[in-house]
Amino acid sequence: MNKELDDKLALMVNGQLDEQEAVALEEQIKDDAELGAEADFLKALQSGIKNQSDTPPGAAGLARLMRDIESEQAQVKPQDNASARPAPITKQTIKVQAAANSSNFWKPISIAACCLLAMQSFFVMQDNNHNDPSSVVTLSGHQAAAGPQLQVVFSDTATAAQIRESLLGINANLVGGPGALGIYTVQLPPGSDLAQAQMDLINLPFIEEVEAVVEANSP
Amino acid sequence: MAGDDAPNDQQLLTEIANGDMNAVTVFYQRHESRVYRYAMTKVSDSSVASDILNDVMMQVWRSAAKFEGRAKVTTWLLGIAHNKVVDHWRKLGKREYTELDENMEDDTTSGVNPAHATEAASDGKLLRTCLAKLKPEHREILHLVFFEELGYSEIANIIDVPEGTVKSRVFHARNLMKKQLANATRAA
Repeated sequence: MNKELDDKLALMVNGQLDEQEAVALEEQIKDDAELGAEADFLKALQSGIKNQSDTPPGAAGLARLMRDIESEQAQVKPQDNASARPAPITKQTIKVQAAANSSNFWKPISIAACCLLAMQSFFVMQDNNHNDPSSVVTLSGHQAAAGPQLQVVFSDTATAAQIRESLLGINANLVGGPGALGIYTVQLPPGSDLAQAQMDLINLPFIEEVEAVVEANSP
Repeated sequence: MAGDDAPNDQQLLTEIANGDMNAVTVFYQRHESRVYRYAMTKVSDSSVASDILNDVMMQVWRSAAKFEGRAKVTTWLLGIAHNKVVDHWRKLGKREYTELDENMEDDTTSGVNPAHATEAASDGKLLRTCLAKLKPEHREILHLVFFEELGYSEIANIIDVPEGTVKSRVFHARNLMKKQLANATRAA
């Protein structure tokens, strides 16, 4: 059997041979026993190969694929997701936030240091102004507010609306901050209940620390 | 996916490129067996074949948008599968055997009774045993010709060898298979 016939025989069996060539080859097979035997072998071989059963993974394989696609999508678009919408709050994120909060031990120390600095500054000014604090005038020319002040640290996730609402709730104004340490100074109206205002603020979930600014003329 | 009729493969790839996960499911279910069986002819290990199937489908998901329609989707798909098998072998430190047909073992069929081989080919268990004795490249070529029913030029595209090499490999694989089957019948 020549090589060309051999090549065509396999294509005739798998249906890839041109129709005219297939008819011509069939004619040759009728007259050639060797060719006929080879064609029979290839047909039996094809039938056997087609009947071999190799079971693919099925639903488990599809589930694995979906999982891998989701995983790759999550890796490809973390930044997009972050800008599009906040990450859903899960137990894991709560744990991470708790861990972050536990590392904020320096904030109360900073507040205390600021208070100390404020007291020191007051004493210095008192000396310069001959013990007359009423002579202190703001650069704008108005008398400085005389009410008590609080120093507040808001959580990183606090929104502008939450901050605004919390200050309106105690009728206070934001007069300073955040500064490098994230501490805001809040001015209360004269005669305000400082302890109550402090309590109101500390109970809010987005506020981490509240400290009263010690008044210089207090005992 | 729009329409009640089942979308063809190229439409599915367009949908996959647009991020349609239903299209991924349909495509997977339609071609899972094809890719898995092809991988099995090369690696003969169901676990590795499953990994290759997953890798191939991931590749389809990643590069569906790049399919240009110059070849049939099945040709493109099996070409990806071929490359994944080569990657697998490379990781194992195996060299792809490209000089296969120039260094053939004796595959002459003189003295082989074709009727015996034909009879043995209809015994599924015997056929599987004989196929397992072939080199992966020979199992692969028989699979592509007789299971996938592809032409020589398509096969050449899939396994990335000249068409003449495909013809030669088919010739040798058939003869080896015929010899294996005839010997197995004689032994039995």
